[in-house]
Amino acid sequence: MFCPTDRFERAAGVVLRPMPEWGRAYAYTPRRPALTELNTTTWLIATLCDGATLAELEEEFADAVRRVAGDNAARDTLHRGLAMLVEAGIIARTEDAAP
Amino acid sequence: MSTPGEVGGTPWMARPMKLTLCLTARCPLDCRACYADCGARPAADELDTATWLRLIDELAANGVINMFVEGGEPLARDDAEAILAHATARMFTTLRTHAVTIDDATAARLAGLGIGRVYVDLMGATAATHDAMVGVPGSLDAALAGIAALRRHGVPVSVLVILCRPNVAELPALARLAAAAGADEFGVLRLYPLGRARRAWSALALALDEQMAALAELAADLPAGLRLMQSWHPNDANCCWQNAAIDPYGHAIGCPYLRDYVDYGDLRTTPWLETWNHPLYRRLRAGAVDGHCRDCASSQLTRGGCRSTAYAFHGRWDAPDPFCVTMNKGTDLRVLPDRPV
Repeated sequence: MFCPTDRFERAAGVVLRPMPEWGRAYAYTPRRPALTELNTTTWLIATLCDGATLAELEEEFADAVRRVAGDNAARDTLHRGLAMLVEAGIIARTEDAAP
Repeated sequence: MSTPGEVGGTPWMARPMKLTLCLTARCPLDCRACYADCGARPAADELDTATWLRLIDELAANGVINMFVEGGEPLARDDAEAILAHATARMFTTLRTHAVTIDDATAARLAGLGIGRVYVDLMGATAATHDAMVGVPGSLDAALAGIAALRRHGVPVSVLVILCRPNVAELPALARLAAAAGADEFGVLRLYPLGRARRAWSALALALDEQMAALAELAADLPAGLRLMQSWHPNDANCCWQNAAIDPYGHAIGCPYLRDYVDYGDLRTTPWLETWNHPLYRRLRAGAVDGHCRDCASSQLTRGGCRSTAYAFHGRWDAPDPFCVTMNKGTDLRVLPDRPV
């Protein structure tokens, strides 16, 4: 479960290799050596994770998928994608220390 | 750069993402089926450390994210771990080895470097077969000790075998040995017409029906927990259409199994991505092959199978792969045509 103030960014050392011609991307996680295939949705989420908070990501992601998904579906998809990316070590979550 | 719709890839790729780096042609073993004519002494014209590091930087900058390092025996180079460390910081890196020099300390260092998987070649389930195939007594025991050390340090291990006449009867036993050693994947590779294997072809090669029977017997009784990988078309999707490779001397060769047949450019003087657009490379990637199944490309991401084998048997780049049961059409795989390399 994430908090709205949690921040998300690419984990240290992770290499993202876009394959636009195949509509996917690959992520290499050197700290736990693995190559993970990302579909267009998780690829987009990984790209948006530049230190933004969850609240900011929800807004950006909803904007990006507005033509195909409503706000609730977008939020659910974002949270599932983020959970997968964090679990795989591709995205790092930092809890916001601010009060 | 090639573009969709042009000859140059099926499916099309702007740039390759995976590459086989043939680090060296030196090896402490003397395998009958060696593809690289390896020797114990380093060849004078192998790339030096600095050049390999520069090339790895170039590959990473151009999108390679998956590197398979093989030889020869990569660990026979004094600088192997420095080169592997440079690679693992930039791309998913796997290593093919005979494992005979991997002790506990080496295994710990390879784990620490972040090697994603180690592929270990075994040529038989018994010391009599394996050691005779690799030409050095004690090699099977040393390799199994190496696998055990890798597993103790948590490195995933695949066991590979090149299927040939001396080991075909031991294939099920070798799968059991691999599983017992802690491997989670068993790769059965076909014999390729390269190097010493080419010269010993008549003694090593099996007919296609013998190969298919061995694979069927193996698949029917595969040990639990062991994944089977095999390199007969149409299961050889890791092939010309997407692969890239560099030989120990810095030449782009597309695929390690093309090492005796093509040269797409000297990477000491030619940018690597320029070799991706070599006319022959583009032609081989296109999958323009006589007699391939109509649905092959859609289901297997490749058409017509291995170009190395096709060329060796038929002398044409657009010839069918004779190791495919559909495209074999009576080709006796035990008889390799005497064709200049």
